[in-house]
Amino acid sequence: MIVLIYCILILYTCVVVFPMTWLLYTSLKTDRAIFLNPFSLPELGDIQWMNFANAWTKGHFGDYFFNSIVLTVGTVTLSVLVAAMAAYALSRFRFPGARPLFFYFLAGLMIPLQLAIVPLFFQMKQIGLLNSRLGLLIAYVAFGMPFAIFILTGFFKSLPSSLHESALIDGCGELRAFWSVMLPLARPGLITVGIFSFLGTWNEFFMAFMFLSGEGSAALRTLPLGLANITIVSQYRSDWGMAFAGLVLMMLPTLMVYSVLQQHLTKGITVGALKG
Amino acid sequence: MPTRPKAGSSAGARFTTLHGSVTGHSRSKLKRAAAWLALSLCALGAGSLVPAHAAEPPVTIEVPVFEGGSGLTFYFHAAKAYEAARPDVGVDIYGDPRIADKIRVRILEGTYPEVTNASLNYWILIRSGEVLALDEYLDGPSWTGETTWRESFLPGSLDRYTQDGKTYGIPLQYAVHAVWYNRNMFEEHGWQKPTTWDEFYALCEQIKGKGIWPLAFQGRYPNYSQGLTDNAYYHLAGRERFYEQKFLVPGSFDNPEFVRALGLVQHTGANYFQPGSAGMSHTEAQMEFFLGHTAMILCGSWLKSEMQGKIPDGFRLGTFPLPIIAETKADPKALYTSAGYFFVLKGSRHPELGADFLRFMTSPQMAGDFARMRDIVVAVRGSMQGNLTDDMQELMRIVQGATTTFGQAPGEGYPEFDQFLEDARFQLLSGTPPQQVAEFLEGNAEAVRSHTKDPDAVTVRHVWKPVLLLGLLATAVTYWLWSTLRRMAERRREKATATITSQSRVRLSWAGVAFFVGPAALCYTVIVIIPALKSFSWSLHRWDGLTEMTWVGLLHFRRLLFESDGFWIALGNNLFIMFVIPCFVLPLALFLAVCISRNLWGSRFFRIVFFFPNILGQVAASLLWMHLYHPQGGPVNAILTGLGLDFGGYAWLAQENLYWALVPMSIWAAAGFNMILFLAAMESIPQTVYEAAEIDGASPWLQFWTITMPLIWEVLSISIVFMIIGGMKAFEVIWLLTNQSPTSDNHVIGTRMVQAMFEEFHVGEATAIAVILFMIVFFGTTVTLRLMRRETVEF
Repeated sequence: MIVLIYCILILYTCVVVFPMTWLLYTSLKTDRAIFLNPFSLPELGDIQWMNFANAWTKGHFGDYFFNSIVLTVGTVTLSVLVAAMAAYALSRFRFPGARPLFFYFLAGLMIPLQLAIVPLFFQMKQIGLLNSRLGLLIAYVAFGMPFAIFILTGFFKSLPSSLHESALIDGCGELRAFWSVMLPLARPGLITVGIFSFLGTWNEFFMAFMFLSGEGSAALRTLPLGLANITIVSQYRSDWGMAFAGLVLMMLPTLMVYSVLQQHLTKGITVGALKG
Repeated sequence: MPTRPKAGSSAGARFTTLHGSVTGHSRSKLKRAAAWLALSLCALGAGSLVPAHAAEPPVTIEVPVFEGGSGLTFYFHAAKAYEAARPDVGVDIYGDPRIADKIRVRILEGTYPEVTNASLNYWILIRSGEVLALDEYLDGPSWTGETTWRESFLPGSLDRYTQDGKTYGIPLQYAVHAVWYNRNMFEEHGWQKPTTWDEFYALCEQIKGKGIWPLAFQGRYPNYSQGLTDNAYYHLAGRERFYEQKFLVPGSFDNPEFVRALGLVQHTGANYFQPGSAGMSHTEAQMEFFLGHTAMILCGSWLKSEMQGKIPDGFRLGTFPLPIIAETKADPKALYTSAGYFFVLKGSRHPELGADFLRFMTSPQMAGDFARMRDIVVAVRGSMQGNLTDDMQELMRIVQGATTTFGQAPGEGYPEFDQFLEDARFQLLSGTPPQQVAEFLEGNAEAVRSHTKDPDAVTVRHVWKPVLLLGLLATAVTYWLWSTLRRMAERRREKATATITSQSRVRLSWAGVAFFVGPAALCYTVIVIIPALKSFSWSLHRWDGLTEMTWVGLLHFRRLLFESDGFWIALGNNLFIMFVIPCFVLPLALFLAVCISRNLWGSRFFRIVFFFPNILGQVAASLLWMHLYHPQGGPVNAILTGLGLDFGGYAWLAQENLYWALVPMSIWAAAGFNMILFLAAMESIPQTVYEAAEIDGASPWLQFWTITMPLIWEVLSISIVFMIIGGMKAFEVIWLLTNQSPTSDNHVIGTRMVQAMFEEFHVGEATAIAVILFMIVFFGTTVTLRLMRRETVEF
């Protein structure tokens, strides 16, 4: 029995790992080798590090990388901060309309992006935020808001109220109590929200595709957008090595984050998914 | 960022009013919050608001071009030469293979480049007056001044974009469609070039007899077969009837000649195309030809240019005309041609310079450079002699020997019909009987004709599907309302008895509320809620994004639900992703979770590994699997063939296989995530419950069904809801696996919406699709969650 289970698990491990391994070594082969013998390992004397160099400079992956990092860091920071502030007020205070406001945010969980995207496109155009990182950043933050507020409200509610009250009684302002008492206590919640925000932004395609396709947007492309573009371009230019290298470049940061934050990530996703 | 004033100002006013109504009640505080938000955003956005425009010469024209078979090098060369000839003008020329997608966005944005040749439906733009009529320039001198500009083109090559005596498009590349062959291979075997279909078939049989596949084929873009069909019909039915078909004259599809033409092409496809070609893009198929895996390929005159640098040394290229019927009704030396056109957009900053640049680029000198640099045929008189290599000589002789040309009909025609032609090509090549394909085209030609006559007409073609969908939605709405009211009543009762915890909370001042909640509320309202509400209103209007919006009531909904085949096909595909794929993913995830939950040695390792692909995101997963699924020698087929299964050249991504190809990919990309969810639920079950069951003698199987399953039921329901939402919202996977141009059969709702907006400029219809999508997602998930919640067991 146990042997059978191990056999199955190892088999599935191979299924999971093989595509990535294949990708990794194929990204080091020449175009002709990829075509003639897609399965073989790269020849030792003929390892194409150039594919990566090409992807980075000629394929503009350097730019895409930078854009994605700016956007992701910005989105994660801002959405965690803005959502935490709102969740703090909604969960620890009373004011008229607090409850309806909470449900107003919650309703956003049920709104698919597609419903808003077409009018949003024209709205962005009017305020001149089309084809800009800032516009996309605001959109990411806004669409992540319902989920972030929902999770964080739950977290703030679960914290003991005595700490918060004594902070306020000791003469802390609300801002102070929020920043130095509640925020540190809500760290697990912030991490959960941050992880979701990171994965959501790093891998996001649809909004980037809608908002970064116009005038002067080529230099603003994010990694997923750039990668999709390059994969299609490579079919016209028969330039596969670069597309493979680009794909590896896009996966690497996720792999790195995963290997460092693996436990947080798994736990955060579980918590987030089960609550959301 | 320059925007056209006429579109910007009125719409800007609309935005301000909406904005005002939101912030009305506590304006000053929110303003403070908004200022704070804007400030922090600017710090992060790092100057992204200012586009970097280097202003070299005083005037610059922008020329985005399609990067296809003819590459970009010539365009850069032409731009440089023009700048040398006119030092006061700079030319910003750039291109990519999907330039059309970008230009469509630019048109919706209202920022026009001067000149482009992106493949758009220019007739829409010509009608709304966005394309410059070039007659004034055409009747003036050509760049060299020997003739008029108009006379410097090959005869007939300007006709395609001429209407009511006005010419809008300027041709450069001249595409001749032909059969290309491997000259070395033909000489080695002593094969002869065929003229008629019978000889062509006989040749294919000969080639096949030598164990070589006769034809490579660009199966993912089956329009490469259109030349073959058109050529066959032209010779079977004659010139007049050929053009009648282009104008959708009744009876021009469902007739014996056209059925025969389709049959000839189908026979070719079924017997002589290389296996797996249905899953190959054009460059993949062309590579197969140049690698010597096939003897011939169908392609336009850009073939060599497109593959430059990838052609093995010593390869010799030959060409012969598309086969004709022996008893032809037309001129046997007629040549099937098309051309690539450039257009000048009126709304750009310097349209007159755009026209001047085109005049320069189509001068014999420049066109000759183009022919030489790319080894390609051009539409300018006297620019090919001495500029083409040996590989192109046979093609040039065909061009010179042609007595007349035929191809696309002049004028607007019915661009709406193109989609049906594309569908028909797919049907034909995947084995639908020619008679049926002809009837399909005839029926849709009629629908398109009547649409053009009466744009508000709805022909009811679907009855039970929309009735069922509307019925289900109505039931869901009723159930949702009923259960919501019941829950509200319950809550009110609870509230009366419960201790009032919220009263013990501290009261927050209005300033505090504005400070803490303001940024989130503002951002969320403006970006999510207002556009979402607008969608409902827009879905009742017709709007092309350029001109005035007109009220059409429920027209879009009636058309989508009762008339459109495309919508129902797309919804069916969504349902496949929502319900069929989870049937594979969830049981496997559950099975893996059960395996690992037994505190196995190494369970942590398996968790980490199985979960990893799930966070890579759909874009990375799709693109990776696109490579894995490559028909000729992609690892998936290689492994399956190695296992002794017959998967050699299996085209996973061909339109009829695409959705099943999603199954392995989805398992890879989603099973780990669901497994982790199940594991979390399983681990929260106290071990004592199992111990008690053990003592009672329950088998592991029984334990699983009676203990584990009921206790993880809620998590399972969440998993299902995730899959439903994900399936309904699917976009990236289909968009990318179909190279951003899904066929009618492969669309999902999400890609339909994008297509309606950006390719057809049907903004109203796009929002109507979004509204339907929202209804299904909203009621589908809430009802599923509520129905399943009732059955949760607590311990």
